[in-house]
Amino acid sequence: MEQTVVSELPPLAREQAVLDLADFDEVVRLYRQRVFRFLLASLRDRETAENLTQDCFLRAYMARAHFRGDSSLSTWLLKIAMNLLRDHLRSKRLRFWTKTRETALDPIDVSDWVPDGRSSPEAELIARRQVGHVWQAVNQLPPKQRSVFVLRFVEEMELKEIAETTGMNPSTVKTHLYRALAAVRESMGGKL
Amino acid sequence: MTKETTNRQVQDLYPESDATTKRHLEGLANSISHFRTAVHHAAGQQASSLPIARQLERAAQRKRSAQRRIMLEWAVAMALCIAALVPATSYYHTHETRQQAQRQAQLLKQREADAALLDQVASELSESVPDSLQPLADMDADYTSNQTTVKETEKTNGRN
Repeated sequence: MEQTVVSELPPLAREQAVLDLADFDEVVRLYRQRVFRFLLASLRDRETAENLTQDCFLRAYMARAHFRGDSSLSTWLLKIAMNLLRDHLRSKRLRFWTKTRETALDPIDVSDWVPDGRSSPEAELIARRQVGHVWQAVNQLPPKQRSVFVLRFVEEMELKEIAETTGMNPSTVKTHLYRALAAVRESMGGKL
Repeated sequence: MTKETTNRQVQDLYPESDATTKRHLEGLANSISHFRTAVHHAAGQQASSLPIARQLERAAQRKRSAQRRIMLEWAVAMALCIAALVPATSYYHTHETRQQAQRQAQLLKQREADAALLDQVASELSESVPDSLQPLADMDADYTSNQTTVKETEKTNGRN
């Protein structure tokens, strides 16, 4: 259900998807993980990602009557999360005196979470190092490029869905994605 | 998403790349695939154990406190503005008063100087002979008295 694009469904299924929102517990259960993951990858801060996830579902709950089913629930929720993220980053920029949170994830933490199962300790070490490099590179991307990168490569969204979520043209999304990928590749020592 | 899918997504952005670039891109796709797995795993570890109603309640509380904080920040900003404005206004007012007093003192001094000059002119005009012409007047007086003496001497001589 998470991957369903409501706009591509027949009218009856679309109505059903809209009605699904009435059972809000189910909506949270289905999409909470995805929203949280997007915010965590974008912010690198567990507590803020958790708070914004809750804010996202609160906002969705308050605005559920306005959901027309033009896009999937997932896209709609990620759009709300994206707006919250933008507001958060903007207010953080204004509140430059606030301290960096201690809960921020660092690259070592993330690379430590790479599941085991490698063929050798060397391969595991290389994988962890790669994750650390990508994590660091993604963190240095401008917010729009980072969001597009996360939506594409972490959330597996199609360019059209990313365009709907971010409110950009598909060609702009592609440009951001290309630049993000080039920046990640460059920071990892490669050339494109 | 498998490594192949990530690789395809990456390769799609560079359709006309040569074999060397493709190999590089495969390496990049591999790293991104690991990154994706790590993020999914990290997010999975952080799942909230709170009931949904409690989560929404917490979000609502946070929203209310954020609104209060914004109002408080505005109030503090206003207070700071006023605190900065009062001394500035006071300084401006004092400065203005001082300047006005200085202007008045200067005007008064000017008037006094004008009055003294006028008095001097008036006193000089009231004199029969100005100070500057006094030597001439003295000479004239001497001359007149001499003439009178000469005439009287001639008269006396004439009578004799």
